Amino acid sequence: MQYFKVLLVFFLLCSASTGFAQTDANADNKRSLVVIVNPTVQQDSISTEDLRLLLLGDIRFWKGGGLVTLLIQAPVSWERDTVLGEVMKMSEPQYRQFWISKVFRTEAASGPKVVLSNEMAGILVSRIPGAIAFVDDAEVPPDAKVLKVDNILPGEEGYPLVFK
Amino acid sequence: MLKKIVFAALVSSSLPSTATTLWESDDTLRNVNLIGFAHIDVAQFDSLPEQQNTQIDDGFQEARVALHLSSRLSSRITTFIEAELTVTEDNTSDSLERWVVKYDIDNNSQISAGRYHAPVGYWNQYYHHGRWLQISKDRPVQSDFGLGFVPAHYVGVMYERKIRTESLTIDLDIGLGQGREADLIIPDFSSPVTVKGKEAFVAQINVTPNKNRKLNYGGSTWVGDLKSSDGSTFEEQVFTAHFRYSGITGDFLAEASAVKHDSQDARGNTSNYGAYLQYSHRLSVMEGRLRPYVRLDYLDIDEDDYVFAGLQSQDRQTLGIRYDVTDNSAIKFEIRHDDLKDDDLSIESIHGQFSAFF
Repeated sequence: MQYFKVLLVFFLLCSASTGFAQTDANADNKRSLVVIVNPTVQQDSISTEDLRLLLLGDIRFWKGGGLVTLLIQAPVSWERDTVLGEVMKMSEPQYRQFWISKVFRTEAASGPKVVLSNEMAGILVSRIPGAIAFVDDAEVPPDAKVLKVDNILPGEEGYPLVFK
Repeated sequence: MLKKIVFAALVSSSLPSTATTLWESDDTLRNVNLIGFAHIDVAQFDSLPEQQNTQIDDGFQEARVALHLSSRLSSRITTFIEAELTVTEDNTSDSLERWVVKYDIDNNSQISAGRYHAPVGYWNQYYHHGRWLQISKDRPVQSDFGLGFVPAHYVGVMYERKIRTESLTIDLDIGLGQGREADLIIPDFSSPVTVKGKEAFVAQINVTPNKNRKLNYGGSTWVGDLKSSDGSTFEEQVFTAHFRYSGITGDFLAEASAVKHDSQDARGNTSNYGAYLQYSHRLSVMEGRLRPYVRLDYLDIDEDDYVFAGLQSQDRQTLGIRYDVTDNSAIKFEIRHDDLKDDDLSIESIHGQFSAFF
């Protein structure tokens, strides 16, 4: 009987831990977009509205005065799809046409620079003054300067750039 | 590490994006970028107005390339050049359409100088010579560069300001300079009389509600002096209004304009009106690459208007379809019905165009 009780407790604990593991796995299905910037950028935080304006090319200068260089992932990447679909509410053709039109209307000299991977984004952000990029939270370069969004760091409760 | 950076920069500059970077400084603050538009037009008419026989004919209409160079000269100074090469059956022409030098004062304001497309009306300001950008094959009648109903070009200075309120984003352009560089030719004389613009003031406003960014509405005004080669002078006032809803599937654009000419030497005061409505719908079939569209054009020219003596009142109905062959090229087909009021002539025509962005 004693053995039975021990086995029952063990079984329940296992079930509970499996349940917790499943809960953690569900949580892991959510990924965060992390905003990384060149260390020369003086700002430590940016609002979601300013992020959107920055992606639209309407914010061209940082608060300290440096020029913004926007890096964005190539098409068919989770980071790009999420930035376009969730942050900007635009389709891929709309975004592309938006920037072509913006350059043609003399509102910008060029569109965002395209990067192929989070690693490439990290390298270019570290080297280009005023550069900004969006990377997956699992692939943030170790020495990158991470911006708070709405004064919340990635991983903290309420971080706005969390998506499935 | 250095190899990685060089490789990353090279790959980055060669990836498909919105402009081809031809050159960039090491700190990326200065660069030269190129984008281009090209199109070829064909058409078939059932009849042609006599005085236009030399300009339009069946078959090949024109091939045109518009090259747009943009360059960041420093972190705050940029320059833009649009040059165009046009080939028709009878003629080959090239022109420097725009050349603008711009200084960024801050995130919300810019000041510039140069030769612009006059910011009079939505179409002038948003499509320029990029046929691939616009859904339809041609510009609306009231915005046709060749017709000159609203001013096409302008040389001067411009102040651009973006004003953000809690509910609206307002784009404001204010300019001062010289307008209508021989846009108009009056043909009804033994030797053609040309009309040139003198001083002009222009202002345009475009409003976007923050809660519905698919909507745009606004208007523009233009006040300028005109002088014809036979010595007559006029004050010209242009007023336009526009409304656009640009959804993922449906796209609606409406624009109206009024052009008034007040003669300074007893040729009278006249008013002329133009308008168009355009709707297009992206079909869900064929990966959303098919977009049928319809446009109604209206132009009402005062018979006593001396400056517009070369124009005539006109109605046009257009039914067309655009097929995006690739992400940067499109084929467009149109059926048109034109009513030319002075000639008392109705014209049925079909049109085709291949347009591309590169």
